[in-house]
This record gives sequence, C-alpha cells and structure tokens, in this order.
Amino acid sequence: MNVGEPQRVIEVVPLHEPVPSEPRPVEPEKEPAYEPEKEPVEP
Amino acid sequence: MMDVSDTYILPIVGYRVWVLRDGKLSSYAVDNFWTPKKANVAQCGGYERVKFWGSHKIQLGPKLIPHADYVAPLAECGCGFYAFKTLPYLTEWLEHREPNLVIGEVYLWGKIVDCEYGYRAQYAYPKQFFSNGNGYSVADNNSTSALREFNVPIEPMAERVT
Repeated sequence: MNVGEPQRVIEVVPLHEPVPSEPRPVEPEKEPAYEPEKEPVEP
Repeated sequence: MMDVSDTYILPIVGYRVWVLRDGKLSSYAVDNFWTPKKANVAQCGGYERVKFWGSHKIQLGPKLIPHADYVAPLAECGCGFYAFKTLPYLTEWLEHREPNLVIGEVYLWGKIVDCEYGYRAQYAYPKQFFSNGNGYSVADNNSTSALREFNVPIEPMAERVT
C-alpha cells in the first residue's frame, strides 16, 4: 500500500483503546446456604 | 527525525486490506498475523523482505531502514500499520490488485506517521470488515470464523464510493 511521503508525526492517546473486550463470563447464581429453621424461643 | 507535532484523543480511522494466510488474518505485504481482542503493536526488524528470482532481487513489502524496534513507526523508515485516509484511495489501489483480499476499516492510534494518502501507525485494530467488494465475499470462503474472532461488524461495502 503506497501511502505517500510522510508529512508529519502525530500522537493519538485515546481515552479508551478501541479494542472489543472479551464478554464477561456470567457467574451462576449462588444458592442461598441452608440454614435450619430456628425454633421460636418462648420468653 | 520528525518530532510529534500534535496530540489527539480520538483514534484515527483508515481503510486497508488484509489477507488470509493459514486461515488467519495477516497484513498484506508482510507476514504479520493480527491478534483478535488485543491492540496490535507495530514492530520493525529493520530488515527488508527480499527474495531472488534468478539474478533479480525482488523486494517484498515496504522499504525499511535499521532502527530500534520500540520506535516503530519511524517516519524515515517504512514500518507501521498501513491504512489509506479515504475509501476512494483504497478502491483506486485495489484496481490493480488480486481479488480475495479482506477489506475494511481500521482504528489507528499511538505514534502515527501522517503521510500524503494514508497513515503508518504504532497501534491498530480492525473497526469493521466489509463483507464484499473487490470480488471478495465473506460468504464465499471460509474466512468468516477468522474475521468473527475480532468481534467487530462485518458489513457490505457501500456500492457507490464518492
């Protein structure tokens, strides 16, 4: 590819790199830990 | 050596071609495979890719001069990721090329040598692949999976370029 003669040099510092990120893996929902029902305590 | 004259915060968009080698996306003039989902970084070994055809020395790819690898692209060298400034520049260049090139838009950033008709850049990543154009069609070959790895749109090229 012939892009011609250099005219100037510039610097491009993007705020975000234009690279698509990997899709974030979906974590399976955690089941609530089993807690035995407490017996009511009579006063 | 040319000094940096301006600084920008938005990546530049250019137009370029790739080829598929061994089922992977590669630069056209040099054997440089592009990496999906990572910024592709220009490197320069400072050596020219030449081969001999009989007694004739044939240069392949850009003309390079020896320099430290980390400064690529160097204005005085021919290294960096190439792209044209406009789609018409690219389509004009394509008129004398073989079909079955991968065509698309590319993001360029980092140090960039701004040339007459295009750029040479330090960092690059495809912005979009064109699904047809220059006798090329993604549907006609096995390139789809190689291109889809880059996670960018694959769209038809506009029929009329003005």
